[in-house]
Amino acid sequence: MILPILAYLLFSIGPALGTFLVSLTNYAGIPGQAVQFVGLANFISMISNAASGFSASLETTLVFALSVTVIQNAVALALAVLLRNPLPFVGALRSMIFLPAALGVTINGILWLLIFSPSQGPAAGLLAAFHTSSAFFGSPTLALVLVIFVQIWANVGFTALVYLASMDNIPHELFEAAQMDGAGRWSVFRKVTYPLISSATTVNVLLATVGSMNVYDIIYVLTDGTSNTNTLGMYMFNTSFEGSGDLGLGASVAVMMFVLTMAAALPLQWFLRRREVSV
Amino acid sequence: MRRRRAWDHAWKLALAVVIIVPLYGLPLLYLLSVSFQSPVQFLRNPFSFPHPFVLANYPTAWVQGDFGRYFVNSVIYTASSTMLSVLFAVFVAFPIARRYVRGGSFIYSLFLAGFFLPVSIVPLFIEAEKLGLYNTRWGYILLHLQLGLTLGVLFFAGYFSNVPKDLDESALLDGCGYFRYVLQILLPLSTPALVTVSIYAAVSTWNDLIGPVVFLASNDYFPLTRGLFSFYGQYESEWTLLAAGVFIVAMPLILTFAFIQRYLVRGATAGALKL
Repeated sequence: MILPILAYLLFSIGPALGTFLVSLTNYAGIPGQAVQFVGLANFISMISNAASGFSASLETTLVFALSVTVIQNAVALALAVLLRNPLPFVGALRSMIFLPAALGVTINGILWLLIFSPSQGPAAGLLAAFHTSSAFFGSPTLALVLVIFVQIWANVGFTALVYLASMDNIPHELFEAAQMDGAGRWSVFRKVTYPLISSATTVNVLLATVGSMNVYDIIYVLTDGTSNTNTLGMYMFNTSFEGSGDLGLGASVAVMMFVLTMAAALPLQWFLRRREVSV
Repeated sequence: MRRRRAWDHAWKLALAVVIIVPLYGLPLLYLLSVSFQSPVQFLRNPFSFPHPFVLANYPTAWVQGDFGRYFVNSVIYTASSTMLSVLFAVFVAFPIARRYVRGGSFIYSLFLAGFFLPVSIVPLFIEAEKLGLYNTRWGYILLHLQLGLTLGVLFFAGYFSNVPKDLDESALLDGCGYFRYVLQILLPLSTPALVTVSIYAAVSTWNDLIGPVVFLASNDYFPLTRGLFSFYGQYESEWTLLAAGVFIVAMPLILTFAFIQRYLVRGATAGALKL
């Protein structure tokens, strides 16, 4: 029991707390250079120095997280409503939307990089038919939209399945009673289904919020943070591991991400829990 | 009424198919088709059925991408880190679930807290360098214990607390040792938790791309994800080869997915709805 807990402290909770510690240093990982305690200098230069790129990253992250959370949940809910009927092939369709979860970011990313390849991809071919073209993931205006799309594409299956599981828990009599009372399709959804899956909504919205504010692996594959897709996660990764290798600054970006995530998730959780209805 | 119902289902099916198939089926199907085309056909008409049907892209990609070695690495990393983390988790969860140790609930909340802390990649990297885990196989395995261990303790503690305590005592009376009891009697009773935790840990380790970018430097140690990403960088313009490479890596996942899908779904929904 001691060994596993040690492993946990060493490889999980220790490093997580270590983020705070490293964020207060000028750790650069260069051999021979002394590591100094610099207090809040990383945070101050990050926020006050306009050239640091922090505020642009912050904006990108907020756009990314808000779009992903809202669209992913709306689409997942619609898919869940469609896929809960005993239709033929419904199992195959459910599998299809869940498959990206197994394929992982590398395959998902490369798949869409190829589809949206500006030179030989099918999307470029389609645009060429309309006598236009785009740089897609290289386009400063379009790249972020596409990255948001791929993130939703990859995760909407999971979200939809959580909604589906929650809908399956609703007693069937409730629907029958509502229909008996002459409720239409929309009001059954609005008055019966939607309130009764509120705990799934809480989970899905929170997971999407926390996930989208911290994700960067899919962005690393798609753009590496170029063309205005430099979210805070990407900024943290590139500051730490590419170019200058400023690990201290990278850690302070990670701390900022943590603070922002909590600032978004905690009030959201309070609000979502309050509106939950129990079955 | 019945006619209306059938019609109702028909348009829902049509809508679902129209949304899902183009977005999820066609991109993969297109790439699969490209992987069997000759470069000449790809340049002339990539949307047509492969003609001539070229199988050679696969062996070529396999050799040039060095996927054999990456595959072995991925298997080693995934199997070891999953088994080790599950083993560790079991022996933390048991005493906690049974309250055989003091401060059990504190340890439990320590593991729960693991989900709510900052991204730890920077300190992990520093630690990896200091402890000599950087760019080594076993270091890479140790650095991937995180998810299985955290998830495992939470899942197993829940399962073990449902097993009657009498079982512990009768096993003890029968002279069954601690390790044997936990592994051979208790663990099989918690198969659903075991399967869910293992699958989640395995999938996340197998698909990790940031890990090998940060913790590994030499080609020899790369797992499939990193290998495929390098292959993409090298052969960006040779689509037919690239498509074959993607499918070499994707095929085992698609086949495994067919078997593990229900466990993934069960884990996702059970975990998510209990949260």
